Amino acid sequence: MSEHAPAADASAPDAHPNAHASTHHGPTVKAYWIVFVLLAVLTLVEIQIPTMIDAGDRARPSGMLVIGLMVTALIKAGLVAAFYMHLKYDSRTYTYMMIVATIVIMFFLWLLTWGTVGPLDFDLFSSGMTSIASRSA
Amino acid sequence: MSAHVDAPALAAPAATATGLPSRKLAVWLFLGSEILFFSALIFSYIVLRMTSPLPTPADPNPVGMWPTPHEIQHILNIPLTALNTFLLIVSSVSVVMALDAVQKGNKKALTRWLGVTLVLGITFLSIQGYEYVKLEDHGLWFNRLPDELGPQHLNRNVLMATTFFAMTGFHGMHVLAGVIMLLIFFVKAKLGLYTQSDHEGIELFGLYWHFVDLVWIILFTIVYLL
Repeated sequence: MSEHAPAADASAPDAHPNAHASTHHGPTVKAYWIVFVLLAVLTLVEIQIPTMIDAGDRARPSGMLVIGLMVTALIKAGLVAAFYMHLKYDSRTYTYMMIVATIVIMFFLWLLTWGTVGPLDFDLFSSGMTSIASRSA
Repeated sequence: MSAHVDAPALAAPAATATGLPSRKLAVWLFLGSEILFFSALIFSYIVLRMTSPLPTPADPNPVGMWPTPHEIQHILNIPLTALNTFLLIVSSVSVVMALDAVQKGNKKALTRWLGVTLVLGITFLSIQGYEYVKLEDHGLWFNRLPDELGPQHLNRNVLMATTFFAMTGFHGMHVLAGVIMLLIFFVKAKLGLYTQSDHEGIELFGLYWHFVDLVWIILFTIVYLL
């Protein structure tokens, strides 16, 4: 990604006519800080979710808790990927590569859970996700 | 959010077969492999936890039951870990500000922001190390649970401890590697080796650092909150 080096390059922005256009693309500083505030708020919300949804003495997390926390975590992860890692502004090839990796691992998770655990009971409100195979009589 | 620079949306295509910078493509491929790596750890944890025995009316404390949040979260110090999560998020901001600074040709700001990131990274590791020491004091370690959850009492599943340290330990090692790289980048920035037209290393390091932060966001949720 090296471009033609400018004649002078101290603290002032580069004077090369194409340097800015070819090297600086992406969110503004304001966008970075907006995303930061969103991440901080979501972290605070995330910490409160278990106390709001679940009593904490359950053997397994309830479906509601899993959904609530994972949605929050995925939103945060998406913000970091899209804005800080510039996936939103870069070539779509990088996004597709990450999607492929995620699909592959999801497939293996499905194999692991279905193959070893068996069909899942997804109980949204009370005792949480369990597998029929692991239940005692 | 339409807050992006009003410039051509993408950089000029690189002189490669893909049109993408080779090193950047390689870093993204590496991050793809890291997704597989951490997912393997996380999904192993999920499967082990899901297949552990559940309490029944006949046996409310079966051998090998996973510790409940009530039993374990007071040991894990969630507020401190939440603070650690916040610090890592701030470090993501600082590293992207460093990139922004060098993209605008501001070398002093680049060095400053890299320094901030370095301090935050070291602080994260320090807090993680402190947490590990405290966990060990409570009796939670790679192959054992606290006494009240151990074989003599509730006999909870020791794999909770093993998976916990495997996931957080590997993540910590990634942060440590990032801090070591950051130190090198900081010194190079201080020597003025990065310019507005030549700062690829900063961008590529930033991708790695953001990924480490992203993994922690997922880990914190799954390990500490669920």
